Amino acid sequence: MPVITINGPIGCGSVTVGQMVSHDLDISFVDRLVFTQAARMVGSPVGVLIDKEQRVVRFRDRLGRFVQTMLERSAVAGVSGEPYFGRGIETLPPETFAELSGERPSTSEVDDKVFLEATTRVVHDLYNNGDVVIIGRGANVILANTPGVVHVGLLAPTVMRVETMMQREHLDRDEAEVYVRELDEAWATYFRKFFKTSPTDPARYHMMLNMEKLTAKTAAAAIVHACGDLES
Amino acid sequence: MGCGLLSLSMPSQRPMNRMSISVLGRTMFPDVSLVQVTREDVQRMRGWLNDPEVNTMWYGSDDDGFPLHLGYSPHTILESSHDEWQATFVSEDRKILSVYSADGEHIGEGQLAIEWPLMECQLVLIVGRKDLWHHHYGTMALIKLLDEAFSAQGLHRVWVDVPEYNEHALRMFRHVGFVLEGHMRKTHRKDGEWYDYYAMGLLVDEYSRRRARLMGTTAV
Repeated sequence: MPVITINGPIGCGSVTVGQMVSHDLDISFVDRLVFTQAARMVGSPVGVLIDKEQRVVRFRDRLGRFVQTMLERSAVAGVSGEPYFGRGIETLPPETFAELSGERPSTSEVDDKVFLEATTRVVHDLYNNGDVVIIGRGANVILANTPGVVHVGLLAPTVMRVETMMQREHLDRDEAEVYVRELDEAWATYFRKFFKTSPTDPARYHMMLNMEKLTAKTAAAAIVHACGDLES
Repeated sequence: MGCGLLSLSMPSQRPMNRMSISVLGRTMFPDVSLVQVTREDVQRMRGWLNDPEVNTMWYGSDDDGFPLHLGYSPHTILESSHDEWQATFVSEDRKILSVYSADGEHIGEGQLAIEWPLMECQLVLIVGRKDLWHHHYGTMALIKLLDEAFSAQGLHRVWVDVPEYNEHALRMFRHVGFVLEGHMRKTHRKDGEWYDYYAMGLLVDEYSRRRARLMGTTAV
């Protein structure tokens, strides 16, 4: 029951290689389905979970959050009880106006602990079922000390990944460079925040493959070969 | 990990009597509309599902030989009371809509099974008129259903489960921008055989970009 995790930065070919391995070994392939199942567990839209992995928190976001927190604190303490702004917490509903009107359910953030627990459970369920290639989502850390798993890290130079994203997403070069840079940053932040490690730490993998030097087919063949060690 | 449900009926036989139009390399999609289901529509659905060629690509039949369908049974709903009919076809949680061509012919059915807490839905689409298969009626109906899901209903994600034997549907969903979220081996059972299924999903921001390219119009 081979279980393989493949982790790499955006545009390095994780999905292509993962699908080839899945095909060659005749086992399942799971990519974003990890988060869609975790979202089902926590009862939130999957975008809230994807945001935790891919969202780049910029300074203006942090500033906005800081201001919001200060307003909420002052409201709770009743210090915003000015004549023009009302007197306290009832003037600051936590929901948006659309939510208050019942137009749509709340999409407020999922607690980090709940998110991590749900993601961990989905990955462990996949492991227990066996015969699966899991793409990203920190599965290599979640299953770090689990027997019968091959952890594969992929890497590729930024310029090559920018070219890939230009073709795949129909972006111009400047847009693709920004896209790759922001997702790289979010990827590192995700691993640092939830797993206290770096996604590029070679100690986290059985093998790291440089996709600048290998075709996807060769990389897949190497991974399939490595899985033979699990069975011997 | 979920269940293996079909999402589209698009067999591979290519009819000859209708042609899609291509202008300067861009496919001109035939216009379709989504309308409320009538009892006459359900009667036609029953006829289509009784066609072995359609049924083979859909859900197969139950133990009594009746064709399986999602959301309602075409064989029993026609005998239902007004209240039962309304509960089935006027629901906030499952939008069932008939697909009509521009010349006013009923050609199929689409459904959105909505899970409001997750702000997502499962999309189901069948083109029952075999003579219209492979002429982009399914693609256009899919786009209309996605517009309904994302714009009218304000959902965040639409997903489909496609069995491995429905290759045309897989191509169509990919073409419209659905992302492969998972490929589960031998988890879909039909007529005594186990098949792979592909779980595909589309997020609202992914669709906005893709739709603009597909239609040559502004994003929804």
